[in-house]
Amino acid sequence: MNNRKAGKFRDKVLSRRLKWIAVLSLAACLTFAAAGCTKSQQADGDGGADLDELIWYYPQNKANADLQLVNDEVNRLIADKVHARVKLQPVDFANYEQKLNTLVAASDPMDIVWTSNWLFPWDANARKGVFQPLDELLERDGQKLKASMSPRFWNDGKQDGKQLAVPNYQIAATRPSLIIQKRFVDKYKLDLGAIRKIDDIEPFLKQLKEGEPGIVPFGTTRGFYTNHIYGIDWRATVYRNDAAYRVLPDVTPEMKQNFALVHAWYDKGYINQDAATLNNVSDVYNKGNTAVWFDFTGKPGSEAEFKAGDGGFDVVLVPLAKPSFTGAASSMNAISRTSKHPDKAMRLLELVNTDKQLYNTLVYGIEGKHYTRLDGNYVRLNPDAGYFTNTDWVFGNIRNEYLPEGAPADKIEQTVRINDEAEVSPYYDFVFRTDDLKAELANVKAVNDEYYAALATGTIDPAKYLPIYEEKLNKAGSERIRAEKQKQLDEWVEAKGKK
Amino acid sequence: MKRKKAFRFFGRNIELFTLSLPAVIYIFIMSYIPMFGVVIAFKNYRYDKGILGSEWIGFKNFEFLFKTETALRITRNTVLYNLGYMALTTIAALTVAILLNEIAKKWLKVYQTALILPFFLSWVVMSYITLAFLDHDNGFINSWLASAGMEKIQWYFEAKYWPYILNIVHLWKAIGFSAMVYYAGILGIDGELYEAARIDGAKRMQMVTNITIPQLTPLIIILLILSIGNMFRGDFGLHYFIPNNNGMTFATTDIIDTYIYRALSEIADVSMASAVGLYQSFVGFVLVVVANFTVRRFNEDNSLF
Repeated sequence: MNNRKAGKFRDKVLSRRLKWIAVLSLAACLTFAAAGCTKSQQADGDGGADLDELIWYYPQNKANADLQLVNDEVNRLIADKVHARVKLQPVDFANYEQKLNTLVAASDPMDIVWTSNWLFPWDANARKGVFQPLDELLERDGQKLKASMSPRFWNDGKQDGKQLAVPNYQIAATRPSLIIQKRFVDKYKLDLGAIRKIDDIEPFLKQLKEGEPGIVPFGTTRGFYTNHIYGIDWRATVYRNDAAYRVLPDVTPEMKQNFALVHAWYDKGYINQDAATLNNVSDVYNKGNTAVWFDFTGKPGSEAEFKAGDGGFDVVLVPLAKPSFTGAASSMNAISRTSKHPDKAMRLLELVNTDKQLYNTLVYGIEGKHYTRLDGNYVRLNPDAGYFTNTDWVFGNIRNEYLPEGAPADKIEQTVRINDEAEVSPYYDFVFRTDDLKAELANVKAVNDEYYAALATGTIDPAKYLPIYEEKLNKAGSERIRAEKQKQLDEWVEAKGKK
Repeated sequence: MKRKKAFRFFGRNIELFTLSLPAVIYIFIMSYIPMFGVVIAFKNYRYDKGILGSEWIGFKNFEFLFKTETALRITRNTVLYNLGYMALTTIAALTVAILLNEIAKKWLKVYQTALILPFFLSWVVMSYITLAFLDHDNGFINSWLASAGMEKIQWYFEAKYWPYILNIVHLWKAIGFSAMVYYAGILGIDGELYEAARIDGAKRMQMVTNITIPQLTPLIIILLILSIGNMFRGDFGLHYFIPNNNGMTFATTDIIDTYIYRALSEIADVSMASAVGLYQSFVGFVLVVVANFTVRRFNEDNSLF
């Protein structure tokens, strides 16, 4: 009896304690939930009245202090035409792919997503169902946008016949070039016309090494080998004019030659010592002490962009190859599968690509505050005014832009001309399907991560390490990838009736 | 009958069960519910089709890890480094804990704080501190070497130094926390044991070997069993940030986690990544069970379950 009473008493005390614990933990849970609530309410609550919000992710070089001001100005410009607000979500280039991969995997709401063939790769993401098809939207809400580009451009945003991305009209060709600081060209009276291949610059590097202490004669990050300058088609890795359509291995004779040359330069002290470990392309020139470097695209007007990035030194651009049409996939905007207002997103994209004022606001900021108009189509930019993108090609059609001071007056005409004249690869519509080669591709990439940068910057001796690199590539499956590519190319050639 | 017993057991320990409830709920939500997601490892996952809608492809996602030539190297590096960290940290932390117990209480807080501070720094911060030591032109070590008339060393380009560097850096970061755990264990030892030993004329060293270490053995073994479970899971931050993700040192710095990160970061294939995660968890699970079984064979009281 007594025992039972005592037990009951204990139970009572316990249950009272239990209640306390329950109340406390409930309170804790509620606090978390409430924190979540206030956050989402805030996100909904600020800004314009009851307009839908479009979220736009795109990469940028750095954060801009006045982003909100520019965002408000953009909202003002689009309010009547799109009936929506936009939330600009720039992410820095180095983190863009990683961040977007995470957001996409979490099915985060977003409307417009910047994508390309080199950062946040668009074809792999399209295959995973990240973007929505745009064909109907273009018909209904984007007629003007559709008319603004030739099919040659539109085709680059297509997969399996469906339009999945809107290309940004910009340079769609690459013209591998050397960038040389003008002060050294003038001082040593360098004859630019005599430079036709990469080897021709060597005597100049020697002069710089001997005459300019503290200056790095040649700067590179992770190497500069590219098939373009060695007569190899960029798309199918076949020698141009090769009647047998033989797909080349990853390590070509030209690559060996290039690595040997670079190693010789490295040994002579022409190349920056940390070349193999630098991560950002701009690390090469942003200190202003690099005399010569290599640029894969060589686009018209990049002189002004380099000047803005290298501490204000003028540069000249020396093309090493004829431009080849590499396509519009280097910068595109797509509409996410998670978009709640795809029609409005399409209208916004159309406006960005066709409205001069809106486009220039995104690129240059607010007139009078971040830039001033000069004669003609020129503007003067102030990199320290709080909004400076230096990336006109991220937003849309560059034909609508004001020219920054220092850009050639015919930048747009040059771009259009190069795009129209650029050699189109005969393999242009050959698409290498790699679905069954994922394991090989992942492992080949891992081998490249280990050896490529050190070899391509001349840091290690190719005589010793190239054979090791080739063997590892082989074991990782590069030959299987090549064979599969050859097989698909042969089928393509046959289908085209070229053989 | 049996059920009644279980209820009574529950009833008697209700306070403890309630105390552990938040942790149990947390683990259930964060670890058990998401476990359903392992099916992704056997599918070709597409965002628009969802977890259930994606196509089944069997063990294809696992192929990539075993096809590679480096599989052996990264597995060896992961296991050896973890063994190294385990042994080094345990011995060093134990020594430090015993020494902390011996020193004057006045200085105790200073030592504790100094030791544990690196534990709260992120690997990114640690990587800059290491860079300050190892940088080719301006690093402390190369400056010392140069002033001593010796040749500078390209630390970040040479694979052979990294096993030492990584072990030292890991010890530097981990020792504070482990030493605190063991120190707390020492404080829990019954003081009468030491008193009795002192009366019997035991020396300090004898007290350490005959009282402190035997009394701490269960704690040491539990911590070891738990870390054996993570043997196939390297410390990503340590191996990625400290050597600066530099290709030339991969021979001795690359572990499973960093390899996967690099190989899949461009392909961004969720299925292949979760296949590797599942593989690591599975091996870890087997290792814990085996280690626990082995310990129980020798001494049942010391095993974890």
